[in-house]
Amino acid sequence: MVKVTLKSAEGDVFEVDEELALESLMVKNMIEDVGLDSAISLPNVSSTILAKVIEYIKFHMDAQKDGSKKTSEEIKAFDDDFVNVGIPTLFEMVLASNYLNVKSLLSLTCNTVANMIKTKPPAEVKEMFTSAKQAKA
Amino acid sequence: MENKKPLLPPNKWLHLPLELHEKIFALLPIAAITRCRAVCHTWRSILLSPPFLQHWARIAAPIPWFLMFRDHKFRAYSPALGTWHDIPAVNPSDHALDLTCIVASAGGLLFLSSQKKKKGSPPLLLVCNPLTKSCRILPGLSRITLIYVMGMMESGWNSYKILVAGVASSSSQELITEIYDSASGGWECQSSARLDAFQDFSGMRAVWSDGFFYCLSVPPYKLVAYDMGKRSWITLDHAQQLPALAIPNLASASLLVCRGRLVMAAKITGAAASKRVRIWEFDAQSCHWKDATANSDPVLQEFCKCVSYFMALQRPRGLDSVCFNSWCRWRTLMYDVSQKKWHWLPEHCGRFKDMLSGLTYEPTFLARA
Repeated sequence: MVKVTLKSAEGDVFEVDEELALESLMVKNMIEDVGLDSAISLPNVSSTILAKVIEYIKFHMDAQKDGSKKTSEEIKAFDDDFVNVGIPTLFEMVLASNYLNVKSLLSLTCNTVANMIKTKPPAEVKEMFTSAKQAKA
Repeated sequence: MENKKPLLPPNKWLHLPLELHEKIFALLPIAAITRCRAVCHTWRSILLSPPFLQHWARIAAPIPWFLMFRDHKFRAYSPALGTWHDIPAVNPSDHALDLTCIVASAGGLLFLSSQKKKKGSPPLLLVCNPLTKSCRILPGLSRITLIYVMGMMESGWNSYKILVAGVASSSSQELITEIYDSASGGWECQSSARLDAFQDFSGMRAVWSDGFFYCLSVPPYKLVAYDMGKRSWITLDHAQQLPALAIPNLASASLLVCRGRLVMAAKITGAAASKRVRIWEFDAQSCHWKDATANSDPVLQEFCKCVSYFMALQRPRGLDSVCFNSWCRWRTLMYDVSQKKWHWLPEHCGRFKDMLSGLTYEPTFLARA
């Protein structure tokens, strides 16, 4: 199996299967442009978030494979648990999935943010977003 | 709210680029969009921008609201959120209005009738979009002074027609029908012989279904229809067509449009055991009404114990429900016509102290009055 090396913002190296890497349309384009010889540098994605994105893609690739015993409930449970993170992490995942162009993860994270916003009064939304900023700083 | 505290400068907000803000906002239901405009200037400008609103309208599924109203106060129930929302009152600044009531709703617009503060003057008719405050005051009726029936229909994208029927004076035997077309901006007037049924009609609401405006009189109920194609009134009240109207102890009968079909809902009063709510659906092919009521549901039984209530609700695209409201307990019951199931809506504050009325309304930012 061909491996692809991804390099996070901190310079950490992640070696993943090519099949997995191609799920990111951004990485796919990079591979098409520069080939597989050197590591693909992802200066906008931190190691923590890159690890999460890889975990997400891996789970869904396995779940889609023939012979996978994963039920749609299990997949939903994984997704729910996956986005059950602090707001700063969630926003970073929105950014990363947009940057890496992983459509399913972008849709999952955006939906999660929308669901958090939709029933809250403006003051709470404001606070939610402000504290997210502070927690990051 | 915005004015009380200094707003954070836009760059202090999370560093999501504009396209991601828009992507997230596009997933919000309409009530959340209006609410989130108060969060900050950046959000406000995105959530008010026409390109965003057009994009949102394309991808969001239209979900009708159940709108309750009395005088200037409107509250709407959003099935998407399962909550009640206040709808801002519409009051054109240069008109002293009193006793506004909603006559009909079509294409995201509300048709209101309002009594001017000066007594004896004819009602002011206006069409508005309460979400955008776009409002059009209709020119005065050409001849009618006493209104029997009013209705509204969507006649194409962002255009509508309004029906008003009545007489020039209470003793007149001439029925006048005036149709307003939003495209031409004027009334078209026509006269015919007064129908017997009309003596019982006074400010009744007509519902629009498949080429006809239908209207039910006060008890004893009579059903009439206005054929928009032929521009003529027809009476549909003989026993073969509407056996339901001959049922003794029929009360609170309302005409609704559900799944594009004409539906009549009514309460049967009398001895406790026979009290129930019944729903009939009109089959235009066979010109027959068929019973569409679910049998004695416990929730419904409880509801029938109420002293009085009103019923309304129509035309939910894909929702298929009928709403009933109790004005003794301030609670609303929703009936899912396709599933034949009843459920209570969450309670809304007892803001309405008097008789309520309601209709379905499909909120949109794009419709212009």
